[in-house]
Amino acid sequence: MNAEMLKGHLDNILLAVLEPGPAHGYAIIEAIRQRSDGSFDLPEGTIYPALHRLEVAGLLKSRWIDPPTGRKRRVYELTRSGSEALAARRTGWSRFSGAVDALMEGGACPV
Amino acid sequence: MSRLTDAYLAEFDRELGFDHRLARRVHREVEAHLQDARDDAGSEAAAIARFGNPRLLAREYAQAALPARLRMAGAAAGALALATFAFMRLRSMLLTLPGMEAGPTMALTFIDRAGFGAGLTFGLYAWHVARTVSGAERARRIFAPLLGAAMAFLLSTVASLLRAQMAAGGELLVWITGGLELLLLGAAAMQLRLLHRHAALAAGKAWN
Repeated sequence: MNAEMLKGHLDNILLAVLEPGPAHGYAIIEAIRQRSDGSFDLPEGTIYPALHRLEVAGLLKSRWIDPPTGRKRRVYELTRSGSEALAARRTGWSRFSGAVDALMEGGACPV
Repeated sequence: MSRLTDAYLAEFDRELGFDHRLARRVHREVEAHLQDARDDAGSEAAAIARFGNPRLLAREYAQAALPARLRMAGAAAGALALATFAFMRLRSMLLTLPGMEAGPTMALTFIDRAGFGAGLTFGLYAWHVARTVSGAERARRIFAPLLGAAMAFLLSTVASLLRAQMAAGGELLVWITGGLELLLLGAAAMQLRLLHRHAALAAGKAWN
């Protein structure tokens, strides 16, 4: 998958990956890789500025957690606005991808 | 952390050096990621290679943080405009200042008023740009009117203080309000300088 093509959808992907619950950056990257069956393999650092951008936009919030065992990490989670934005983007995406699918299947132009 | 990771993190620190808070956040986050990734990637060098080019990533961070920087610069300019107006009015009310009729202070009175008017005009134009332009282009186009507003308010403040000083001498009110105005001007100038550096990195080039 072309990295530039993927970047255009990165915000939606991040919101969707964080829907089940809070996660830290590395876990988000792993989830994207696994759920896309290895198709989405961006340079890992690209995820973090996008997370920061979504946080500045109020769609995510983050905090540092310091578990008794394990490493200190910044954890991201959806805000209420983030959940609403994800629902709206899902609807838009379904319509868009459905239309592109219909066109990609081919067919004759009306004469 | 090894020397390799330290050198890699130092590149982020250098690129984002104009914003210590952002630089510290990025440093800690990248460091935590590399600790996780090192085990999976097999080596530190592989984890760093997978993370990406620090200059390009710093640029993306700068783009992400640009709206907050613009808000801060706008707030500084707004506070400066309010303070300039409020202190100007306060001095006019509490001190007997000469107006346009008094010969030697006529020029100062004119500069004071015209400077404030020009500052407001530049500020309103900056506000218009903020409302109608988006992305890195907004930062590029808003810089000149904000700088113009700060310069105009500086001119107005200096003229207003000289006028008050000539009329009231060493009145405490003149010193206090003047000091506060100059302090706000300094803060606005610092915000503008940070905005300039921030926007230059976000755009990936130097611009004037």
